[in-house]
Parts: sequence; C-alpha cells; structure tokens
Amino acid sequence: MNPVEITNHYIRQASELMGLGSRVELLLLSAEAEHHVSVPIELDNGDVAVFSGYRIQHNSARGPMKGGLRFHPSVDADDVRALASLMTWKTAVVNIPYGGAKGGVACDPATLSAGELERLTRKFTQRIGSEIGPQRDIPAPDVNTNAQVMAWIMDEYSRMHGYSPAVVTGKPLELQGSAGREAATGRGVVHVVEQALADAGRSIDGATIAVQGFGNVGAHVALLAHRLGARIVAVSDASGGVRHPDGLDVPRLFTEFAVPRRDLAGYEDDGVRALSQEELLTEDVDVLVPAALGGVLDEQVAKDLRARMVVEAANGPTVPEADALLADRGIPVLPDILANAGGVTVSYFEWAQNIQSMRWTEDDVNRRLAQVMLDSYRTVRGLVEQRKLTWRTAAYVVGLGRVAKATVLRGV
Amino acid sequence: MGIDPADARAFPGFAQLDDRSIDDLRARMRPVRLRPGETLFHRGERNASLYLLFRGDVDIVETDGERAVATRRARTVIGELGLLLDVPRTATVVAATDVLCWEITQQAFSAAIERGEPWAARLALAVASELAARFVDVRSELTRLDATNGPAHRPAELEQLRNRLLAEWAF
Repeated sequence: MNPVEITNHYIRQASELMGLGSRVELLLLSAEAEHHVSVPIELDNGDVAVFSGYRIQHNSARGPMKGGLRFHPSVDADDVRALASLMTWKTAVVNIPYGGAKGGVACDPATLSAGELERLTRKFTQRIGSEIGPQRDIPAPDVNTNAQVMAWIMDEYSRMHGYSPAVVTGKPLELQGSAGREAATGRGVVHVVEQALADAGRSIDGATIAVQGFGNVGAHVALLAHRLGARIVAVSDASGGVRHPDGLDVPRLFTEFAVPRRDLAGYEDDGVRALSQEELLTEDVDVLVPAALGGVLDEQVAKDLRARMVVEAANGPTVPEADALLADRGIPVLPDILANAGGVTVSYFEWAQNIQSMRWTEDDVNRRLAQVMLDSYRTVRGLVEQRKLTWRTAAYVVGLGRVAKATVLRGV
Repeated sequence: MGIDPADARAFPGFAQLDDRSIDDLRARMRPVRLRPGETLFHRGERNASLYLLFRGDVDIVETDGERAVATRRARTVIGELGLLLDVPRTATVVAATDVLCWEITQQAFSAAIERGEPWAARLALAVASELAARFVDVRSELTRLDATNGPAHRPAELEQLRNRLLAEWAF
C-alpha cells in the first residue's frame, strides 16, 4: 500500500463505523484543489533549471488549510496528496481551527547553493502566491525546509499582498516566529507518553523508552522525557544506534549529536553498546517511539516487538498489517495524528499570535500546548473505552467526525 | 385496392377475429402505401387518424429533415396520440422502406366503438399496451437519470446525517 492507500484505509474504517455513506466518504477523501506548478530558476553557473512544485489543499471545512512544505527528490503528487489528507485529520483530532494541505518541490537541496535555494523558494512562492494566505492556506517547515525558507516565503508573499507574517509558521523568532515551536512536536509526544503511562498505572519517572530517530523530533522526545525521569535506554539515527540499560546521557547526546547534527554511530561512553535499527525496534521497553521514517514497523517487527506501548512520533511508521497484529497482541499504538500533533498546534499558536500582533512567552505556549494535547488524548481515550476501538481507529473517528460535522453543518 | 384478411389477422390482437369482424375492419380502413422517404404526416399537422403499420419500417423525426429519434417496425400502431388527444402531430413520420399501412379516422374508430365492433376493442387494447410499455421505459429512464445526475445527498439525508453525527458522536 502506498501512503494514500494507507491513509484512506484508516479513513474508510472510521467512516464505515460512523455510517457516513459512500458519497460523503468520497467528498471527505477528495482534495479540494491540487496545484502543480513549474518552478524555473537560474542556477549559479548560468544554466536554467525547472523544478516541479505542488500545493495540494485537501479540506477547508474547519478553517484555513495548514501543512508543511518539503524540498525532496521524492516529492510527487501521490505523496503530497496523502500527507495533505493526514493534516486534515490531525488538525481535527487536536481541534484547532484548520483544514489540511501539504506541498513541496521535487529537488535535492543538498545540490543547491543558498542563493539557488532562495531563488527556488521565491519563485515557488510567486507561483502559489494566489492560492495561499493567512485565511486560506498556511505553509510550514517540513523535510529540508526551515525557518529561513519560511522567512523567504513570508517576504515574497508580503511583496505581493502587503506585510503578512501569518502566511507561514515556523518563522525565525526575529520575524514573528513563536517561542517553543522548535521543541513542540517532541513535547507533544512526551505529553502523550506521560499520560498513557499514567493510565497504565505507571509514572514516566523511571519508565524505559527507546527512540528511533534523533532528528528534531526524536532528540526533543528523548531530552524532555529524560528531564521527567524516564530512562532513555536506546536511540538511533540513519547511521546506527546506541543503548545503555540504565539510560543514556541524553543531555550530552543532545548537545553533541542533535544540535550540531552528527552520526550517533560515533558516540562512545561507559556502558554504551551499539545496536541496529531492528534491535532498537524490538527492545524490551515500556515505550517505543518511532520518530524517523514511515513504514518501519512492518509485520515481522510487530511479531517480535517487546515494548508495552508504541507512540508514533513519525508520520505513518506502522503498516496496516502490523497495526492489526499489534491490536491482536493487545499492545496499544498511540497514532501519529494524535501523538505528533504538537507541531501543528504550536504552528496554530504562532499564527494566532501573528494575526493579533501579540507575542506569548514560552511558558504560555507550553502550558496551552499541554492543555491541547491532554484534551485531545482524553477525547480519543473516551472512544477507545466506550466503543472498544483501537487508539488509531478512535483518533480517526474523532478527526473524521469533526470534519464531517463541520461539512454537514456548513452544507455541501 | 383491397385489404387481405390474412394481413389483418397477422396484426397483434386480431388473430382470433371471426370473418365478420375482419370484414367490418376492412370496411372502415383505407390502405396507404409509401415509397422510402415519403412522409405519412408532418409534425404540427392536425390529423386525427390512427395507422396500423403492416409492412416496412417508418422513422419518427422530431423536426422535418432531422435524423430519426426512433424507428417503428411492422405490426405496430402509429399516430395513436393524435387519435386519443386533440393535439397537433408531435413528430413527423417518414417511410424508411416500402411501407403498407392502414388508416382509420377518428370518426370511423368512434363509430366502430359505438357499434361494439370486436376489432375496435382489440385495437384499443393494443394501443393501451403500446402506451403502457412506453410509460415503463420512460419511468426507468427517469430513475437512471436521477441516480447519475442527482445531488450527492438529498437534503433529507444530509439532515439525517447531521442529526445523527451530532447526537451519536459527541466529542
């Protein structure tokens, strides 16, 4: 199954349960608009290169559409379409007033100079400049895009429409970015981990956690959970993994391997052993947090998995067959659309600050984030308990239900 | 030009008529022969006759000179709307082949009904069957069009869904 089919599979499951009917289901699965643009730029050597850019706007029933913008060679319409739909359900699960969208440019930023990247970003912004906007569609950083790229988009869009910081989120703090956004996704994941452990009668203090992925999300999950007393017994990145049965020195790992990005394979410390990705995924821990790529939890991993629960920090880390197997084994999987929604939630806070020309403190942001994550977690848990659903199905029912209600209340 | 009794009995519903009834029928009717392309009657004409098509095919065209919207084949009735309703012809009928049909005027048909001539009752039944068959076709076509072009959900269904979602899935 490709990413679109996987997302649609879960949506159909929820739709059937709610009895929405095939026509309303079709309406909810279809993207409102798909913009495919060509993005020509002049390279530093004087040649002209033309890139393919996309912005797919899935659903705006609950508000302006929201979703990341990625620069990656694998970007294509299918991929972007699935991710756009996922954003619709994610913003609905955490009940922030947004729809879903996603975009990207098919390019390899590693081969582009800073100047080329800026020209690419500005040209792409010109191409989609009439389709995005603070009350229409608000892009954010994603794979290979960052605060600087958002600053260029904001500047280019503002040239077209007047000063508009609220057109993108994930901006630098100096350009109306929000405090607390960098750590937001990881922080949201840790709120879910903490609450799920508490419901299982455990404290996060002393719980064992394995984190796959040590990028922005994984590193913040490890760091924040460590601060709450969790033992992070294993982490990994693309280069390999490290483990320590009593818990790794996460603050050291964070400052030496996450802030300046370095391969974890090079980490050495007393009692630290190397481990493979496969070993990490089947570690005997209280919580497994996949925080890297999609599709890593396949059927084999699901059979061998020894964690007591899985909390999905990455998008789509569990394939449907593995999802069903884990459900049979009674291992809860806290799904991506709930667990990793902290990022888009703080994006919403940034946008809310921008349109009011206000600035919140980091404490304000973190307090409100905790509240949103907790409320969403409890809403989903309510359905898990009352209707005996898996966490994933329950989360999709909440997301789909909110979008369906907004749709029928507004009228088709 | 006479009307062959064997031809008459070949028409649907007339097979069981006795010789006397066939004679009545032949006395009331006038044969009409057309070459391919000749017109039986034009749209808009005031002509209240009914025709029994015995041989050949005719094309029904909505406007003179346009392509056929339907073809009628031997042993069917033509012009029944003109006989039943006091309206001008709704279409033009053109011979597609060599055609033989029998014409009966509205007055002759009414007189035969009054006198209780068996063939007239049988013909009335044949016309009623033809109209009933066409009604069934039209109704199924309407159902099909409604299913393909209808709204995604009728307002009542949307309203039901809204009420059910809000009541059963409160979160």
